[in-house]
Amino acid sequence: MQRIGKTIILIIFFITLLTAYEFPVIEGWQQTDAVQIYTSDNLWNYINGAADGYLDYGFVKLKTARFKKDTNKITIDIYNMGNKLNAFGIYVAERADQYTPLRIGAESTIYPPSEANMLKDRFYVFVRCRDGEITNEMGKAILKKISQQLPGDSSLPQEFGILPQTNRVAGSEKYIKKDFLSMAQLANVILADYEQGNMQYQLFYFIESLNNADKIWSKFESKWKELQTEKPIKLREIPYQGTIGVIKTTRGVFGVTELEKEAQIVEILKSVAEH
Amino acid sequence: MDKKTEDQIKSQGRRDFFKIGGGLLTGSLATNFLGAQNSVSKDKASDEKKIIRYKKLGRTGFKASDIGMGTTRFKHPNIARFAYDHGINYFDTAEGYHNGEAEKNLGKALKHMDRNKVFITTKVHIDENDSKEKIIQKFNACQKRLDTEYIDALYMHGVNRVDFLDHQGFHAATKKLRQEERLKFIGLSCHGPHNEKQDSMEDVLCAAAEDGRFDLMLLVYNFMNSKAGDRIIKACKENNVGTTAMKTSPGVLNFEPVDPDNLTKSQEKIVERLQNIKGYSRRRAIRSMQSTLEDKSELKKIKKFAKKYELQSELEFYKTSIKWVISNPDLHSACISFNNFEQLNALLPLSGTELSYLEKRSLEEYNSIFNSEYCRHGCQECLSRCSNNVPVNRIMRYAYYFQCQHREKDSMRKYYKLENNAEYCTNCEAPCVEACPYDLNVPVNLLKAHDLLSLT
Repeated sequence: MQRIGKTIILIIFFITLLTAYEFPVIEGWQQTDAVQIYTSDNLWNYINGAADGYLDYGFVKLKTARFKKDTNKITIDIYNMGNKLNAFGIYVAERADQYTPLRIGAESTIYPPSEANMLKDRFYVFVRCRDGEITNEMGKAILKKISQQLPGDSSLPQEFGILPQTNRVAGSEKYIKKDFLSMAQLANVILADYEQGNMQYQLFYFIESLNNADKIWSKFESKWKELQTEKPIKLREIPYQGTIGVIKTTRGVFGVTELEKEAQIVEILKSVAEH
Repeated sequence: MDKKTEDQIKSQGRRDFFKIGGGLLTGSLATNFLGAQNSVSKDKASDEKKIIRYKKLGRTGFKASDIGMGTTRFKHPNIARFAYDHGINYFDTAEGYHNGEAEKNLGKALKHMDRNKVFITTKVHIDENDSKEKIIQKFNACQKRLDTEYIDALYMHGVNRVDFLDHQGFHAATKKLRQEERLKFIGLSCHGPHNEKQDSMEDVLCAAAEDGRFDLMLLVYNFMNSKAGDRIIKACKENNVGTTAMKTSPGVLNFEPVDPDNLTKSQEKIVERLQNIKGYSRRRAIRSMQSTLEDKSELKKIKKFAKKYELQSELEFYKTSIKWVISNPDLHSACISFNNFEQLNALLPLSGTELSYLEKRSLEEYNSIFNSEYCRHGCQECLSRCSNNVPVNRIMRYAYYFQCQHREKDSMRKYYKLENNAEYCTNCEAPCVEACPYDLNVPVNLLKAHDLLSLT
């Protein structure tokens, strides 16, 4: 038992060494305080109740430091979220509705004068201005420096490949870890918006259903209406949201929301199954 | 709620519950509790679940629902609309919750509410040197996200020092905002100190109550962590200040029996782990887990306690702890972070209820059994007594992760990284032994934790 335990600790130690990174140096900016580190047991000390959202998305560690340049003072928070998908989930959750994506890291956004956000690999980076302002140019320069020094690659999570490309609204992808549409049953879903003629809808997919479709499907019991169709389809009314539908396919369980008519829901679900 | 639904609720979100085992309880509190399995019930009974008690929120004069809605995990406006339609009229949010997304979602839900019938509180972080203009800028952003003509209350978020009560920028800004009728009241939230340089929650909030400028406050309050809260609530009552509570349950009992044919989700995880790591057969893994779990003396205590009070699930105990908070006439609203419809349906019936004699006794007895094993969140009382700077609270929390959240590797790794761990306690004269105001035997609990978390 002791030997297994020691082996585990050694493995953890080497993994930690391999995945460790130095806090980025931002040329032209002076770091004013030591780097602070927060883990899941004390993130709450740093951002209070906002920690809940990060913990839901699998938060691992935060490194944060303050910098200054002339009259500008900024804080850079680098959240390690464990994997790309989790980092993507929190990045999108924190990104504003209206945004212009930049190709720095996997994606980044700047909101002058107060903040800039970036996604790279398993990291979500949040730059906050405490005094002065962050301009577009300044934000780009800072994010580039950080991106160059963070480990990992700059691609987006591959999970979204399973959602149909046709009619997908660019940049509408999201990852919801818990309580999609305030429904506890709808967890671990990736989704995107679609526009098809006059129809606008949202497709979602249960990422755990690729090898576990039956298990996910078994959750949809009471209060779901089952349709007699070639592939299993179920419908459910959600308060203030209308009807949503789900379908079980060989590639897992897909769903659709934001369509008014049952016939449209069935049509879209069938087309997804054939995709 | 039927038994099946309760079981479903019970089986999820266990990381948010307190569990007791191995003599250790820690201070991570469970406000966001019930990961519910099913979803909204559309039957008649569910529609009848409504808030039935409203309390005057101090000098604001607003009558707030005894159960309010917190928004730390708020992702979709429909949950707030559902809450409103079932009588909840107090909503607590903050600029920092999902970087303003919680405020935006609440703003969308507000469009479907009678604005004059709800009370919206939001919170902003205040830096020491923030100017009046900077704070107005922060308020403007909140107001824009909430998309409302006025905000009922603006709080300083997570205040840990008494001197912050005099923050010039905050007072100048809020004075102007009130003159412009964009803000009605001000308040503050406090979780307690994170280090020895900061002031206690009691010092900060009692001073704020007596200060006269603050109309409302948000405090940590539950039946096991009530001494400071009671004093704060008393000071608030004397000064006609509104009080709302967070972290309203210290946790819920975990007395799940091991039924080999029907393992819970967390038990399944342990069994899988034993099979993978030790190569056990499933049967052997279950037997091993059963003997480990049922050997814990604290579990026996819990079982005895549950049997005595005929508690069938963790949820029942959780509800009792919420009832304890809302039945305090001087505590005006308990802020619960609802994430889904099932959570709301489960707790709405608590509104207006009082603790029964048996429930009161169960909490008292629970307190007397486990009081000396519960390391309070934010409490730093014993730290100054340790000459080796052993972080007691943190070590207790790691032990909790190990035992109750089954995060063995993670907790051991965290413990391994500590500069000053409980190994110091082996040969120490233990000046901390009487330092805990709650009679927790600090050295004994630390040594237990050390055994658990280290490989020695």
